[in-house]
Amino acid sequence: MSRRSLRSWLPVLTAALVAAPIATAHAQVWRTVTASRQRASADSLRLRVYFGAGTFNLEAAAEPLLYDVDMRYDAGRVRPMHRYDAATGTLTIRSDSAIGHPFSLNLKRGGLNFNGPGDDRNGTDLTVALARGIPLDLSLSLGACDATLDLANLSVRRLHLESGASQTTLTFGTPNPVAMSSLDLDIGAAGLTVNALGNAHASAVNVSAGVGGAELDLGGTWSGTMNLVVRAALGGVTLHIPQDVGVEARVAKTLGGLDAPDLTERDGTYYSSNWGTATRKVVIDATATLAGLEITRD
Amino acid sequence: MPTRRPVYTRAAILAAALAVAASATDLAAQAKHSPARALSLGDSIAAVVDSLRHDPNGIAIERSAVQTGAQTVAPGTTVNGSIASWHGPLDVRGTVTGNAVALGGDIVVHTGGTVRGDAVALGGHVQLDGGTVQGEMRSLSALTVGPLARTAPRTPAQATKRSLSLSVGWYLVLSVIGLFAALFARGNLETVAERIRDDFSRSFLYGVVGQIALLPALVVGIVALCITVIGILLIPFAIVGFVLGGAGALALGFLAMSYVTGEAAMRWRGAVSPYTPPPVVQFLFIGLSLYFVLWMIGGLLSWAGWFGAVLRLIAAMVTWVAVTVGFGAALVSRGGTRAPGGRVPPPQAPPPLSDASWQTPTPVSGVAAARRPTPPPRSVQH
Repeated sequence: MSRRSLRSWLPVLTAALVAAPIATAHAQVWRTVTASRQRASADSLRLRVYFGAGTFNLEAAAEPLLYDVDMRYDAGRVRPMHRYDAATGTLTIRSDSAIGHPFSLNLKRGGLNFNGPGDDRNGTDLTVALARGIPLDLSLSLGACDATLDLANLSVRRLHLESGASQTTLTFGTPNPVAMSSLDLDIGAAGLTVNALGNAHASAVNVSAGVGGAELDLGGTWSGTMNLVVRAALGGVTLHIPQDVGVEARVAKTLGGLDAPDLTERDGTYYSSNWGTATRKVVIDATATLAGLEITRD
Repeated sequence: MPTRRPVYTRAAILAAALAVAASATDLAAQAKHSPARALSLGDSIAAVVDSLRHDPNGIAIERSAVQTGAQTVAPGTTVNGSIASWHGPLDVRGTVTGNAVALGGDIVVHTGGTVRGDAVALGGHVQLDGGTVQGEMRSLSALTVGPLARTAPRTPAQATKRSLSLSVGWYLVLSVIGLFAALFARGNLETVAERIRDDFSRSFLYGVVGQIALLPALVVGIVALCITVIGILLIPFAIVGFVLGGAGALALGFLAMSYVTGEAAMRWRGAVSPYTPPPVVQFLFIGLSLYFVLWMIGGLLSWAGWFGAVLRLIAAMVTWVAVTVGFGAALVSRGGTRAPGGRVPPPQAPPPLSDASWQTPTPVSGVAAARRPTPPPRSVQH
């Protein structure tokens, strides 16, 4: 390109570079809503969350609150709602009509928006704090977001987590005071990291992992036998199991792989060397379809 | 015809200016119809009460419950029903059997104070100072106005503006990408363009087949990686790479097609000189602008019902053909790295003799020089 030609196109280039940010900008109207309720006589709480895009945090509330919800959202894009039904003790929070999909090109409002998981420039920020000391029944349905679930100091009786394309970190920071009757983790295209799963006080754990894979740390305070069912497809699941825990693993592989150097196979089942003597054990029933399962001893 | 060149330059600049103007107009309109805003003294109480009722996190109160200025529920007194303050704080020291609402102020529930319903502050906060709220304590930063823009039915003017915004957005994005392609991948761009010129119909055919085969190719690739087991870890990268590659081929193809279109337009105007290198950027922007104009016309007539729809359909079909041809050419030329036919260009044949060449000892077209045969060097014998 000659110098003259370049000079003649300079205004066009300048105009384009100036116009591009303008055209891609979106007039955001941020709004905050905080809602809390004193615990009073409530003896349990059910939480239902349907969350689309943004950042989601779950943690313990300060006394004497039953719940404390903090939402920050773009009122031009989404109208989150929350309802508490005192008769059933159910708190429902819905923010699933937010900006659609990860890495989508959103031209609907005259601008371009590339939304990744946890893109807090465009998504909703939601923090939910729940009462300590009362049994909790949690059902979380997450879309494309960054989720941090810190269940320390909470009494979780049931947890069902369903995630589409979210990057989720679930931490049982302290031992769960109540026995968890159901712990289901259903992960789609993003990732899941579970810390101190042993603190969950769950005798049965179901994990279904998709493309993004999952990493589960079975550390924490627990006793007895934990039954862990893992369904992995098109991704990888890594289990970090403490050395003193006895392991029995039955793995069904369909174009999948198992990496468990510390386990020994007997009659199609893998055992750790301390299986017969360990005071706490984990029984793994895994299915790996086009996926890999890794078991490490920490 | 170098004198005509500024006409195209000005046209492109005008197009860019239009893009800027349309975007700015759109932003201004968005600001005007802001879906949330803070309370002001000029607001109508009835309108605010109505808006609060329809807010998903709001509350329903009677207009008659709203009193202007600071409000206090004195100790030992009971308000039967709800109470609300307008642009002032609400201090609760007694009992409110309904809801306590502050529109443009804080709610403070002092020791001995009780709210049996909800305590809601719009543009303020709810504070507990030893009191009790049996319902929910809620603070809303702003008032919600109107429905969500995405769910609101579009007026013809809004539909037109939206169509124009779409066109402008794509034009700007493609312009910037095109500029980078012309500066840093000019060879690839020209090779793909050459493919298009060389065999338009075959490029179109390859483009159609390529578009149909995109998804199956991705699936086959994933399965192939899975079979190797170790390749499973590469699947996310493969997916991202495949999507980027496909998008790149589509973009490169469309830009090459725009380049060919711009070149054709310039030739039609007689503004292409055979003695100077082709102005790639100019051809590219003119081609892009032509497609952009097509969409702009369709967008400008969005209000015109089926007629506008037909125009936009035509624009979409033309663009699809351009994208398909370009995509096919990009595939065949492997992203512009392989010349037409995949062959080395044949050596130039000598030009044919002219009719008058026999009349002169030396042909008019010249005589090809031949190397004079030289004997091999003799070995020296002593």
